[in-house]
Amino acid sequence: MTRCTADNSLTNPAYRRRTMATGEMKEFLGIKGTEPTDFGINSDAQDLPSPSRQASTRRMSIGESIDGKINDWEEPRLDIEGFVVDYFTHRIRQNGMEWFGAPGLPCGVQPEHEMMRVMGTIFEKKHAENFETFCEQLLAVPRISFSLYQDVVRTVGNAQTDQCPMSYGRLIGLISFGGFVAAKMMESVELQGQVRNLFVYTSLFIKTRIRNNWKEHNRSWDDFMTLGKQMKEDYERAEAEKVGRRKQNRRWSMIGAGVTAGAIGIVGVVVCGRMMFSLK
Amino acid sequence: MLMLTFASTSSDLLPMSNVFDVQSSVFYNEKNMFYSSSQDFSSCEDSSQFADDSGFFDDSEISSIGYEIGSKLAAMCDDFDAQMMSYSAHASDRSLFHRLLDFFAF
Repeated sequence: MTRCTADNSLTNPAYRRRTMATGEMKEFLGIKGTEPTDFGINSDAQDLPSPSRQASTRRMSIGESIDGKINDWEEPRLDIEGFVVDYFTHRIRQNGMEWFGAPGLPCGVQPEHEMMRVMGTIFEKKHAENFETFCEQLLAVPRISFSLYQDVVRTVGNAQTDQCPMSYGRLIGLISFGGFVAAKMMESVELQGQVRNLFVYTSLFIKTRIRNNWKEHNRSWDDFMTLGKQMKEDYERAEAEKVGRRKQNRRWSMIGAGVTAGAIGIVGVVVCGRMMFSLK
Repeated sequence: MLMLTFASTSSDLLPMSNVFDVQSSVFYNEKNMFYSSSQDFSSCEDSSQFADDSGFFDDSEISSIGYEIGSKLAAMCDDFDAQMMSYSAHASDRSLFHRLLDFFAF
């Protein structure tokens, strides 16, 4: 198991080569050092970064930042590919299946991955019906499912907002929906092969936008964990209250049924008594 | 240089110039063999070919379905984000409240 301590791992080039998530993903994606500069972000030509700005922004390698302090989303253990593969695997397993051939997690499951599972599950439960409807439309014609999925992801990523274009909500929603679609695809032999495409596309799409937006909008995995914990607590408390209320209602309805039965019994006894008395 | 493209919905791939400078189809064919190198590009089917002879929908219908679902999903995501960010707003007075509770807990 590769030890993924944040301090020495990043300076140790040998570690970086061993990091499957970065090295193999580059090899896997055929990206030789040149990262995608614009992942459909600016669909119109004029939005393209002007050549002068492009030239001035030298590409920083992973783990390097202007003030020496690295952003937590650049840590290899928090590569977005890890989040997507962990959540897809988790969601597929919930349907009782296994994603054989899923890319491995070089640093293992991280606390942030587990928080993403919780957030993704909450998101899906909140929108279960919509997810079913969307997925039916998406998988209606297997041949174009992946194209439709790309359209959906791009529409979410490009939707107008005054918040961060890759906010926690959009990040969680895309991974949650992607996991849901992947789990449904696993149920069809014809579509199983597309799960890896979903994984690659979703990972790259989110990764590009995190790199372009999070610093400016003060987003980080640390902040994600802080907010996620509170949301998780509130959600679990609300669920416990719901269960408590249901139990209480059940208790009251049983008491009510008992009282009613008792009353009927008493009335019956009185009526029988009267009848026997009048017969004498 | 290896090239990586994610095919778009319409029959014409995303315009080369403004997508990104990496082009290779990242798809699996029926034999579940992963093709990424450009030499094998020809033998690998990509979803734009699928889209072309789907026969069910034309391109505009495909995009409109994707756009419609995407817009609804984006609204759901933004609501979720607003709810999540609300925790950062009252995080400070939340901890004050908890300290108060802890104080009176004894």
